[in-house]
Amino acid sequence: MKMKLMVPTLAVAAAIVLGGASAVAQTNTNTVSLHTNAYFNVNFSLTAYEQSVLPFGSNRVVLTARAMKVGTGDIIHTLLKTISGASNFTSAKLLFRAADVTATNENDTFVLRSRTNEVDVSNFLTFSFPDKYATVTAQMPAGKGATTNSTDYRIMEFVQQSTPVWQFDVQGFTIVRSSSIVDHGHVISAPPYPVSITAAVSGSGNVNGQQTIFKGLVALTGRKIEIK
Amino acid sequence: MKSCFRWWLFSVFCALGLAQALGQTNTNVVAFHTNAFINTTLNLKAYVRQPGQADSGISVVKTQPLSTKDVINAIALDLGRGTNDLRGAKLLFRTVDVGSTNEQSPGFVIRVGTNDTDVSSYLNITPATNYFTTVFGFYVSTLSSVATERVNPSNSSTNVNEYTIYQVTLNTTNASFDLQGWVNVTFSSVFDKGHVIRKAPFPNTLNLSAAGSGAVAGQSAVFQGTITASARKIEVQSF
Repeated sequence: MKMKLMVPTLAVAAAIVLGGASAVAQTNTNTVSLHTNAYFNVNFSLTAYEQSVLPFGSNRVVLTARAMKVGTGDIIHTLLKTISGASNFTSAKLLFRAADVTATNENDTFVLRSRTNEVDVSNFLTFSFPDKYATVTAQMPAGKGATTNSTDYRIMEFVQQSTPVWQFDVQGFTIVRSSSIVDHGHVISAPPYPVSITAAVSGSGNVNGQQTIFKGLVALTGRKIEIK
Repeated sequence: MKSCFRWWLFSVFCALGLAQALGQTNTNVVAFHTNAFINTTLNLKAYVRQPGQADSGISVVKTQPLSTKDVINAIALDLGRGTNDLRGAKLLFRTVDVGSTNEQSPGFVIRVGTNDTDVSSYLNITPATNYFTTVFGFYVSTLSSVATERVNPSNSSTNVNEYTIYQVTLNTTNASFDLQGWVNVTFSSVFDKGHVIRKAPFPNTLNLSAAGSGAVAGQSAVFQGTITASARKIEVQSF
């Protein structure tokens, strides 16, 4: 189950402060909506233990575990193979996008970006904060300007599915570091919003149809605000 | 009890140097059990929410260790036993009647001196099953594990190195958690003084890296850390 990154609605104010003349501009008779989005670089660094078998003697086999690395590049590669129309996505980056950040309709998804093109890959790669686990938050005012920093300790889950080669469902201990959104000295959103998310995860899945156990790190870093 | 099992049990006890497998005290028959014990150590860090200060916009998290001793003391409190009463207590993972047709599911015991107290209703470890895999294209919740086997043809014993996901739960008044994580379990056939007690691989060591949430002294907490089990030992007990 997805849980949104909770921040109050301030998208319009954000758009103004970040240089937009207005949150909604008119060109001829068409209305152009501006969206304030937050982007994070995504880094997967997993070790996959894939089940395979070796012949033993003349009439039986023995199980053997084969370890392999699964990185962000591997995940991008398998996503590109899955998504139709993404063949022109050369040098694609995997990003986490919080669309309409701080708005009530904020929509958080993973996307692939190549130059100015973006494709939503949320049918294949998703995240959640499982309801069964609690969150513990440390929060402190941060200096001047009514800004606040916080650190959440919680459990986060990532699922990759419906893709060739491998699929996984991993979860683990996660630290979410957040701060108010400030641009050129102006506070766009006072409540803390994630700056970085690091998760030490493990779980299972399969590689080429073989049972596989995954273990490693997932990091969402380098928050960047863009208005589109 | 089947005759073959009696023979097996008898040979086991002979190998262990016991004078007899069954002893009689007056008219009562004393049953002996061959049990496996594995020392268990918890080394967790708890991120505990601190009460109050919510109105000031400040919330504080205190980190504190949660060790084997802390878990034993939390269980002891619910058992109505003082912590002094459990000084020097060990947390063991016990399998009763290992290698027999009556082999029981493993569970935790607290050992003080020569007395073992079953605490499996407080502390439990099980393979996690809430992960998916595909069966004919459909996602199903299942247990997944990956293993490497090493067969020794000379004595037909088998060693196994397994990777899987385990869930560990603690339910006491003062501390509770529900953790899940990656585990490496090594298995080997069970020998005692050169005699095979159980040819099929049996857990030997366990290294679990787990995380989850729960409570410490009534306050919400998130946990991460390791749980290890090692030094498997075979004991013959009457109880």
